[in-house]
Amino acid sequence: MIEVTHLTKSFGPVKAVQDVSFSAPDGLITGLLGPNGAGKSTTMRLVAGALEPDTGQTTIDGFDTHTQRLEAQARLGVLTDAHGLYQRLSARENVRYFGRLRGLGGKELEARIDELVALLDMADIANRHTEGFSTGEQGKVAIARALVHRPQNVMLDEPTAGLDVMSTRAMRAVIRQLRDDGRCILFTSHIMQEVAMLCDNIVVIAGGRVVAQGSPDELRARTRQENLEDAFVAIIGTKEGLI
Amino acid sequence: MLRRLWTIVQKEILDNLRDRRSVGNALFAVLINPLLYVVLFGFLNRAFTEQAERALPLHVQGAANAPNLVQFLAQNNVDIQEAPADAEDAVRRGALDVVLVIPDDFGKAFTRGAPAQVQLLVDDSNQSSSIAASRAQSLISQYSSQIGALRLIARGVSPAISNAVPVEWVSTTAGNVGADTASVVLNLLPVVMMTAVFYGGFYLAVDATAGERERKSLEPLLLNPVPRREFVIGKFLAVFAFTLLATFLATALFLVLLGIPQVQNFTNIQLNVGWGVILAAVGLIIPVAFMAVALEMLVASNARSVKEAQTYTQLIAFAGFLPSLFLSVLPIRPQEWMYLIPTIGQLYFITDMSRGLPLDAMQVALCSLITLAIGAAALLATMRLYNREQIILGKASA
Repeated sequence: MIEVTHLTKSFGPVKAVQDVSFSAPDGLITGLLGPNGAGKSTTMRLVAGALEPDTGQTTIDGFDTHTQRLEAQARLGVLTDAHGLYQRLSARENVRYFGRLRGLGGKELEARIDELVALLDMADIANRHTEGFSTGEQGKVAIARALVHRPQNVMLDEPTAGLDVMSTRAMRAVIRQLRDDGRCILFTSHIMQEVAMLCDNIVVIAGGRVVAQGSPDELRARTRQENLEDAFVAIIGTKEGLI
Repeated sequence: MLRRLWTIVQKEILDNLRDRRSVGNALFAVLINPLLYVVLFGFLNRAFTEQAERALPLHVQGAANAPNLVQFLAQNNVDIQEAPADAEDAVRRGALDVVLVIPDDFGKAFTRGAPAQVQLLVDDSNQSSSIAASRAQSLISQYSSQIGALRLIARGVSPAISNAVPVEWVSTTAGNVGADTASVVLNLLPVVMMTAVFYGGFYLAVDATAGERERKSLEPLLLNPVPRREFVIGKFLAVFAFTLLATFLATALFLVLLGIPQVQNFTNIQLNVGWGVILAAVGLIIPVAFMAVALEMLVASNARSVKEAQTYTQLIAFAGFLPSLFLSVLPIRPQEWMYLIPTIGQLYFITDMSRGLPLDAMQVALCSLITLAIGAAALLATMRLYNREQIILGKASA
């Protein structure tokens, strides 16, 4: 369960996030939706504990990301916007490093890595150095790294960006599986179809503020639009930043 | 915590070692110095000793006037040659270094026991001329005092009476170093070591901090539930270990190379230093390595990009090893307070220790503590920086 209350963050004169509140409950997929520069990534980074909020609070399973950072982060797995793999380490070594940092080790860790390699269909790249990986391959390794400790809460920034059709489908299956296991999933995407297909709960952010919140059906009903894309445009009042 | 720290150190070392080119570059930069110094000083010293041993060519005018003197000179490694008629001009032109002129009345004055003067034609403005002239002069005055002593004995007087104030040359050079060149070469030991300490881990310090951020792997790393100081300590330990290894290799290479008989035959530098000295020198410089790596990491962490980090850390490295370079060519005798300045203190400790001089334990302890304290302060400042979001955003403290 991820909860965000009255979150505000500025970078100098730029107000990136203004009074954002929402919650992402367990067992649901929550989509953070918004045009480019709306404050999605900043919100994610605040929740993950990478940035310090000016005001407001973010909690993970009740632990404040900033005053109880280690407890909060222990319950969270994050796929960051930039995958940031170690190029001179193999895919397996990248995942293993993060597993060890999270206190896993030995056979248990190796078994978990094998499981993720199978789940994400990355057997052929597991033992290669990640230098020269395609965006999709990098994405798989980064997701395996984020899930290695079986976090109760998962945040994914553009998880299907750069993936081919097969990988995208596999990724969606993984996300649904995580939800069915009762985990809390918060993800961002530009792709409307994907959001419509996956999300149980949508938070629309524009200009650093939450402008709408609800299930896809609720948003369509509220804006009296047939499809979600039109609903989205009606909500934020512009098509800017949409794909 | 220790297991996690070891995980971080392990990863950093593995990651660095796989970067063959950078490791190669770092080792090359550190190890080329001792090699270069040995070869350079070897050639210099060889040329120097060869010149000293070579026969002195001396052109003599009127050699027939003083057959005894000429014979004495010939016995003392002087190559006697007939001087041309325009001797003075030849010396002025630089064609000849020095010409000895023995006047025709030399024999007459000599037999009478009066001062029988000779002349050395020298061009004072020409260095090789004055070196040759002073060698000739010292040989002639040797001959002169030998003859003088014989004359006193012939008159029944002890020659000792003419030696009113004898001077004894007492060498205080201690320990295992006698010859001057060996001493000069030992002055280079701190240069070799300081270069290794400041440049050995320099690339890795930048790569582990500014490099990690530029490759965007820092943010995911810091999202792990690990106190961020552990990342700083882990990265520090990895770079520190590499720096120590590089320093040990450079020191050992330099001193072992100088001790190899074939090398000594070539260089004419007789210097034999045991492993005890090598290890003690590395031991003395450990606090400097600690400080150097900590400062480099602090500066590199504060930089906005790898390029900027390289520029700034290079300045630190340069400032760090510069004093050793200065003091190796300008051997200033240290004042008490100089022993307390990091890098300068260690410089003198290493120089003294390698010459077999005793060290003041108190001074060594104090200087090491000051050096370590500066390193610790830099490390703490780096940890503080890692606890701020600027480290992820990559902006200079906003």
